[in-house]
Amino acid sequence: MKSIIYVEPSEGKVDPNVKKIVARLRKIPAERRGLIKGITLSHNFKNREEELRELFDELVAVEVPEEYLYNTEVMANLLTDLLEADSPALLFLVFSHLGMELAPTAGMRLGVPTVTGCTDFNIEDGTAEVRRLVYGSKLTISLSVDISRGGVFSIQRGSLKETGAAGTAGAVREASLSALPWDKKWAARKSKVLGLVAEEGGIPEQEDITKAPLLVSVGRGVGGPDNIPLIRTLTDCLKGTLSCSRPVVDNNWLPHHHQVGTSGKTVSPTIYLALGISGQGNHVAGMDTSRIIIAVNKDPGAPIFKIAHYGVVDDLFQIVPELIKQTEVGS
Amino acid sequence: MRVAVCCKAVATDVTADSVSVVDGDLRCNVGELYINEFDEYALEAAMALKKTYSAETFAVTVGSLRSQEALYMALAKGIDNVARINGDTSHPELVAGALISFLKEIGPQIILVGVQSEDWMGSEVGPYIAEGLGASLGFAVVEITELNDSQVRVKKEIGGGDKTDVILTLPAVLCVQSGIHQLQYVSALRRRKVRDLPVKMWGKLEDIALPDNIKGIMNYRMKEVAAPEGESQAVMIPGDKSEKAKAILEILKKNLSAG
Repeated sequence: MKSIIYVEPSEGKVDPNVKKIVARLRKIPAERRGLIKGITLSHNFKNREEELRELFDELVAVEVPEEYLYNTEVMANLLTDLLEADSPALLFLVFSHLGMELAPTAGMRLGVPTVTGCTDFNIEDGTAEVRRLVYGSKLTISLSVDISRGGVFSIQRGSLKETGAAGTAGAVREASLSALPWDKKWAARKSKVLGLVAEEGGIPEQEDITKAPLLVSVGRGVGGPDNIPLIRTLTDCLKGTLSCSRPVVDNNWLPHHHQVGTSGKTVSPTIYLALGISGQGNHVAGMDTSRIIIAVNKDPGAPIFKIAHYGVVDDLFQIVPELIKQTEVGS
Repeated sequence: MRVAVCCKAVATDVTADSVSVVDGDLRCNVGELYINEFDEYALEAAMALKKTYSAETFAVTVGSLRSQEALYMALAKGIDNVARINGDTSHPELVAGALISFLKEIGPQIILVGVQSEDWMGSEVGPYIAEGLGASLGFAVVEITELNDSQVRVKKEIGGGDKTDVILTLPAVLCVQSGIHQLQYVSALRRRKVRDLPVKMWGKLEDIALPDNIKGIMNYRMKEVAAPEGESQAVMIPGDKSEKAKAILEILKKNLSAG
């Protein structure tokens, strides 16, 4: 049995979560997880072969025509085809948009157990022991998966803490690289991608949340659009940049380019000040590498406090005016 | 044109004491259930298709009697027909298997599903349904831009803030992202009134024959539910609002000036 990882690009690089999955697998004895094989699209990783070859025992780079690069039907076709050739195998993906779509599709086509959004996993004899979040990340559930015929697992971003993806210190690994030419049988039959959608109007430089050292970020707790000016005032006082979680964008309280999380941008500022953000997995995946996270939330059980460095249990409408007042007095 | 919405009633206010694994399935003893927020957006998308294309709309849920809350919300928003498949399970594969059977019978051209449920958080049901029906799949759809007898054109998120413009052949399963339309306010009076309308029970979960690939994907066992491991690592800042604000500003000053 092999452990196969679909290598997804992330802002032009190998997704760091892919490296963490590899690192976790390397901790498991080879007789249980087998060789570690990477599958990628050659287009995504031109000039990054060396980095990839150090990660895996085997590496397959598939040539995909330009027109299919964003077509998930094609990804599903080729991935299930390649998995069948290695069956029984374990497939690991990142729980990204692509992984959310591909994991259940591949699992159902292959008829093998599928667990999505895993936060931890281990492979034992004939089973995989996995853990995943449920109920708005407030609880976890542990599962025992029969992998005798293979399995598909998507891994929640930011959940594995391993570093050193190459595995054993000092080990020199250079995967055999197979370039796999395009096969027409993978072509899309039910979908056609017309192209990427450009963000209307572009993003003002001062609102680029990916480059800001201080993000003042609001969530559903801000209550409504009438309260956004208060947060803007605080952001200006602190000379920060305004960002938000998904519900704020869904309700049109702020434009999409402010959004942090799997549907928005991944950010890594010096300080992330989270105001009224509960800390669901999809948001946390986009900001958990921030150097310092300060969370203000009136719910002491909010999941954001699990990842924050500093926490304030209070109503943001008590704290924000006070921050503004003290900043103005101090300036 | 037929449009079906698969919706789920979920408990949101849970603790480790209110959820447990019983007979290999999750049991939640929180009394009140609400429509899954992502599915409510799917209902809004269905209503938009009803208005624009005169689509006949269906809403279906898999659950016990109390999960009819999701269907009452569907009726209150203006969905034409509702049905419940009786059974209580948190296994997304069983839910998908039951929905596939129902959808095969009514034959919709568009099937709308919320992109994720707030309780299981797995995002599997839509892709399972698409695969089970042999339908095309649009995941994380944020806009339905065109629809005709053979195709639907959508904008879908692909992560990192990017979106693609995609044409899908019908039938299509569209996993709807939150925010696709604004949620319309439904008055308490309207929600009360629809409770008098009949809800069709389409069948029982245990009577539905599952395809082999559904049995294959659920070859796992739920063991236990717990609060997430590890206590908060956060240093909690005590004091009144003035002291808390002062402490936050000190952290900012120290770390931003250090660069």
